[in-house]
Amino acid sequence: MVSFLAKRLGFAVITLFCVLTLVFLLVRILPGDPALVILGDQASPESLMALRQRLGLDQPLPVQYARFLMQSVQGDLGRSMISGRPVMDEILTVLPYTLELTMAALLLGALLGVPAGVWAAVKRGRTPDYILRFLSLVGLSLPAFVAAIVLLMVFAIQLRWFPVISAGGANTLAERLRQMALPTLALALIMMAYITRVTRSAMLEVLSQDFIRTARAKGASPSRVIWNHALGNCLIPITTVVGLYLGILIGNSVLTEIVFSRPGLGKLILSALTQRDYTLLQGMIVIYTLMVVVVNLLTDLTYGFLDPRVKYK
Amino acid sequence: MRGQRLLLPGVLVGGMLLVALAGPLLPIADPVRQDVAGRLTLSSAAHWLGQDEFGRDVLSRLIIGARVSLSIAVVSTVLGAVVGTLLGIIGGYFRGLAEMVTMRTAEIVLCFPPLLLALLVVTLLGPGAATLILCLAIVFTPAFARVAYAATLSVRSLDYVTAQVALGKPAALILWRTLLPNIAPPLIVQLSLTVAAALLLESGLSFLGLGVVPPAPSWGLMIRGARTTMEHAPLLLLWPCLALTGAVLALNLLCDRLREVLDPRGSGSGRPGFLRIFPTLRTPSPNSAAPAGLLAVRGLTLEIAGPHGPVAVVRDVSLTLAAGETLALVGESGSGKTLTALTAIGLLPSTVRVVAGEILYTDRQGVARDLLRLPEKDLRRLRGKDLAMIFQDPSSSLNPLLRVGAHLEETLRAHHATGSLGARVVELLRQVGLPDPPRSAQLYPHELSGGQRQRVMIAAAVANHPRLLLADEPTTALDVTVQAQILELLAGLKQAEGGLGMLFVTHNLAVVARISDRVAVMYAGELVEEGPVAVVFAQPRHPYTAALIASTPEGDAERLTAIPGTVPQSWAMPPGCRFAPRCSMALPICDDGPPPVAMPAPGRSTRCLRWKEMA
Repeated sequence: MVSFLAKRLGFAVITLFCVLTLVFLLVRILPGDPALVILGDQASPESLMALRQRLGLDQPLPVQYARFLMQSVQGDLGRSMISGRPVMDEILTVLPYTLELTMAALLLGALLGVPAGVWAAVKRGRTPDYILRFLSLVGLSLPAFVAAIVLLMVFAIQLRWFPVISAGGANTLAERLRQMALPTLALALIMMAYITRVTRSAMLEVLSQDFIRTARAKGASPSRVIWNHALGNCLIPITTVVGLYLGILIGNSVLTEIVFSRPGLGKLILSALTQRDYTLLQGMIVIYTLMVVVVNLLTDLTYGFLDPRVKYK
Repeated sequence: MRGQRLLLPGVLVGGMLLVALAGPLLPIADPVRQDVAGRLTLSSAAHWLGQDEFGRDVLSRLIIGARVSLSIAVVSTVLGAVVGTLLGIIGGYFRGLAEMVTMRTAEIVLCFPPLLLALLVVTLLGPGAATLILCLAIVFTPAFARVAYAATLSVRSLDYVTAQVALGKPAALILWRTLLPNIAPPLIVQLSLTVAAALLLESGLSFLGLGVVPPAPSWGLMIRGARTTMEHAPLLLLWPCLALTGAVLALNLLCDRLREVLDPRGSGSGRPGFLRIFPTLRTPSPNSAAPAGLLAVRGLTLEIAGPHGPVAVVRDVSLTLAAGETLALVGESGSGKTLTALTAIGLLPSTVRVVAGEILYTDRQGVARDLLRLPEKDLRRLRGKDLAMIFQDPSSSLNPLLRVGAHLEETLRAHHATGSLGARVVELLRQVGLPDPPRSAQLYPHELSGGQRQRVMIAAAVANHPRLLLADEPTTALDVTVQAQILELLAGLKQAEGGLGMLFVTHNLAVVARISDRVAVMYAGELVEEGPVAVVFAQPRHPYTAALIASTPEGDAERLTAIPGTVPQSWAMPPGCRFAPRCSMALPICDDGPPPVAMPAPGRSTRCLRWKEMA
């Protein structure tokens, strides 16, 4: 267990190190002078020089790199080139919004997707299976922003059931939920499609294993055979897929947040992109990768809870 | 026939590609010509789908947009596929450092959320088609590298390849020849999947204004433009959304069907796997007299679908079993002995169909019930209570996620046991001889040995004091020393549970002699001989039984003789006696038709025309 953790953590650290290096290099070898970008064409050479000094851009590249790594390890991702606030603060301010959205979407997707997948598997080759298979295929063909825009157009603009802009400012929980409903649904639809598919195929696989026959030979009820014996043994493949697609979910949340003008990492990254705020941008890439690495690690650890046979070697 | 499934998505994707390719040749309006007077007008004769916020023709923008979006998606996919496949093959073939570098890099790139990686590259290099292609290719390379790597590894370890390498052929040449056919199917699936993903990413980036540069049309850009006017012209938003989703859907459908054709396991219909409930026989029960014993199988016939119509895998099998008796069902693999046992408990595999016969079971009240015509609900009440079964392989027959105690509790609770069952569980485990029962109840199946697992299976089977125990080769998967212990346990249980009848399926004649009172021999789906064990073994009345005894090391034969020939394929059964082609005593009349059942003595039957000559 301990050595397994050490190995996975080691890989996570290496991944993060590579990402940091890559981000650093990409931003540095770029044509264009960040100081010039920040101060504009009319800036005097003196002020440009001063800014470069302040940003540490006058130092040789290896020195800059070492300093960047040291600071990153300490959780200091530098200061935004535009607002001057620490990048970490900028990210932490909006991170809860993104986490709230992705977690809600994941939960909704799993709550709908798992039963749908089980149902499709049990009804294999019959009408519910065909309908669910088609719907899940549509779901995973639906670009995140299209899902978001269509929901926005129908339920917010035409029917006016939900607010068009889901920016903060909600005082009551009901209002907050109303604001979150559409973006969550847009993301959950896609997540649900993935989960339905993997649940269906995992169920079909498990249902033809010997222990299902044993359970039936004991006289166990069909619902117990399906939900307890079969689904229990499907949780590992489902978790794997959820872990894998969390990366996609995080990417999709960027688009969804922008469509709904919701505060969050998506809006922040877009403004960093348009304003060429390189420090903010590199900080966000690091945070996103950190999130993916942590999710992968958690996925690995979950296996141990789902299957007593998993021994971390 | 399976290829037909590819027709619909193939036509859709092909049509889409064709329209995109032929776009400039089609008689459509100029996609970038603006017409301020015609802003946001709905469909007209000149503009079928209307005009956008700059008065440009929506239809022609859709078509040219398809060209832009699809060409970016296809080119980046091909680029990623070529580079990724090469890297994967190199990593899988050379192993060592090359493997480290390529596969670790791939894993690290996979840690980036794709959209973010794309955002970063586009911001750094500026938007445009070339940048898009480059960054999509980077995003998709690792997936191809992984597929190619896995295929290379599996091909490398094929016996055929190892043998060729041992013979001194250049490995690279063999690998290349075997690699291509192995790598092609997953790669084709990955290709269509990636084109779909590339379309999604491209449109997302263009939607953010970081992809295709206006005024060139692209579906993502069209959605971006239409979004600003969606309150006045919702239709304008609809068309590109439909086009984009439709295109990705067609590609995903193609990919799905490709997978289905390459690996048809996921398809098929009916309740899957062992969930299947086989339909009760609709024909009325032959209404013969109630049997004297516990179980009477009469005229049981089972069919599977063969290449030329249905094939009887079990034909006209009749058996009886008295309370307290053990009947051994013997035969080679494929003789239908296990199927016969599974039919009694209603758990046939989904490919097998009951065609005729009856299985009369006399329940605790003395009422005979036909198990073939009993509704699933009633049959389920008998399963695990009156009828119990022990399966061949205890390691795959126990749910790995349930503790031993939970396995036993499940059986008890399925038949209305309530409250705390801990004491009963421990008692059962003690009864089957598991060491330290309270602790064993807390263990998972994988923490037990094979013999111990089979003891758990047996404990679950006898938990509700069944009247009929079906044992399907319960000792075959075990070590020889453990086999003896399990047989002893079963014999002991039978004594303890008075009146328990046992149907013991095995191919091992030594086991038969040890455990059973009577024996029934099956060959190629037919019951060829039945009678008391001692009598049958001493004086077989069917040539197959005689040959089986002669070929068994533990038998009384002076030297071992193999039975010539092989068991006939189930769809190519001999018209007459099924054993005739391998029989040393066969005469021409043996091929005329199925031999009738003869009764050489009370309680004995044989299906041989020449049984009298076998004295």
